[in-house]
Amino acid sequence: MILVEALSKNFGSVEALHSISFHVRKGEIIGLLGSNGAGKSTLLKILSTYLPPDAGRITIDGVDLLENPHDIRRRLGYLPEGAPLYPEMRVHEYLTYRAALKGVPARRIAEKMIDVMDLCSLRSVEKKLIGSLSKGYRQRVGLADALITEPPLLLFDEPTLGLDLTQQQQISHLLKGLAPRHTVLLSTHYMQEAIAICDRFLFLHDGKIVFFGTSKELQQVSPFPTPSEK
Amino acid sequence: MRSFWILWKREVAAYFRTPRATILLFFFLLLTGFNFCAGVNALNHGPTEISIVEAFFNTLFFWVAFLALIPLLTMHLFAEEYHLGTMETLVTAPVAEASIVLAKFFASLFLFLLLWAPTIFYFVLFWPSAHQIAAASYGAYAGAYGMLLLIGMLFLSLGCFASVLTPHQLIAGIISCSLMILFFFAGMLAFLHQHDSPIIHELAARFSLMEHMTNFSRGLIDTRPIVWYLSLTVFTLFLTISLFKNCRHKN
Repeated sequence: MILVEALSKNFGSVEALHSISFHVRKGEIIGLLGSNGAGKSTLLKILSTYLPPDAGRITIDGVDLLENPHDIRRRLGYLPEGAPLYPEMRVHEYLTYRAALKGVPARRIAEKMIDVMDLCSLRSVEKKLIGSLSKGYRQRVGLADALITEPPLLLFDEPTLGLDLTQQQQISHLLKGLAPRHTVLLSTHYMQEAIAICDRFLFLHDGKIVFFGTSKELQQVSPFPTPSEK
Repeated sequence: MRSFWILWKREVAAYFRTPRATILLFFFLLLTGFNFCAGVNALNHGPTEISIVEAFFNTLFFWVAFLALIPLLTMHLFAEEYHLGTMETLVTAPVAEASIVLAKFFASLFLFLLLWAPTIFYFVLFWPSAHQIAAASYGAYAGAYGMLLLIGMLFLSLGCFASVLTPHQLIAGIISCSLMILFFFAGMLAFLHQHDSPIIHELAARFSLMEHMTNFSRGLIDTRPIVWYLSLTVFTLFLTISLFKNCRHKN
């Protein structure tokens, strides 16, 4: 599904990603972990086609990201960090606009809206202004936007950051239900959340991959027990 | 083309979802209404060859309203998207960068025309109240509003260009103001060097906004300024699209 080869990205003298390579299979949920500044968001921004890489090659479903960014955009749903939205729009207006922009035919938008609002539990706030919603609901609107075209690849940057425990659990439950129909790359700071949702983990440190594998493999290399073992 | 219309509709609606359009319309009509009254008063002082159309489109108030309006219509277009972070979701949707820039430009042009449209009624009302027509020919109306559209298009494209450069609306507004003032005062050289330097006067007159507006509001329509403003608008939009494609992620 995703093949990344020798990917590098610099911001001036800061090396955000240093020649990283990995392969993600279809239907997997991958947790991107690492401290602040490790390169998680940069990697997602590059995969979403927002940032151009300095070097390396990325193919998604066999399509080269640099050669056909427009094709890639049709195959992905992206939730950036902080779920940026237009505060002056109502939830249903925003999702209608996004669905139309992503190429959903006009006759199918209403049906897609119902599906995605049910999935993300947004029916009770569909007529509310986005600016008046709580952080948890804004994250759900961002998730609904990413999911509205049912893209094969989903990229989520810190989807549960700043949410209370109940909201975190609700969103984690929603994300877990996305496999195997979608391939998901999920950036998070919460190890427990990653273990509950993800099939494999990609640890980044200073722009380099320090671990990529399953939780079982992680136990073998880590001296600390994972939260599920405690 | 479909994505252009979807983006255009959202941009136009965004002006009305906030009090921005209403406040702009209120103060803009206040200023242009005052300008019209000032024009009528000036004509009341004695016999004159200029029409009310020519007087309306060539006063200081007119240019103040015109130059103040453009940054207010354009400074938020890209800067706000950068500031909110919505630029990431916008450009990672399957939409061409050119569609985004053109949708924003034409949305601001639509609002620009919407704000100027009520001023037509000033001239319609002038006839029954003053018992004389506002201009000698329809060419004067067509010329004045045509030139308004042409200069408006150029300045709006400069406003879009300024907004692509920065995530700060105020800085975008200052940049677009500076660019417009540069254009405005380059043309003013024609008046400053009227007697001492005929070459500078001749050259500056060719690019003078005031000169063009004066001639067009008299009904003297020349194709050269039309080509000049259209070419510059297309060039600025092309530059804006290129800049947006290559530098958007740096903001």
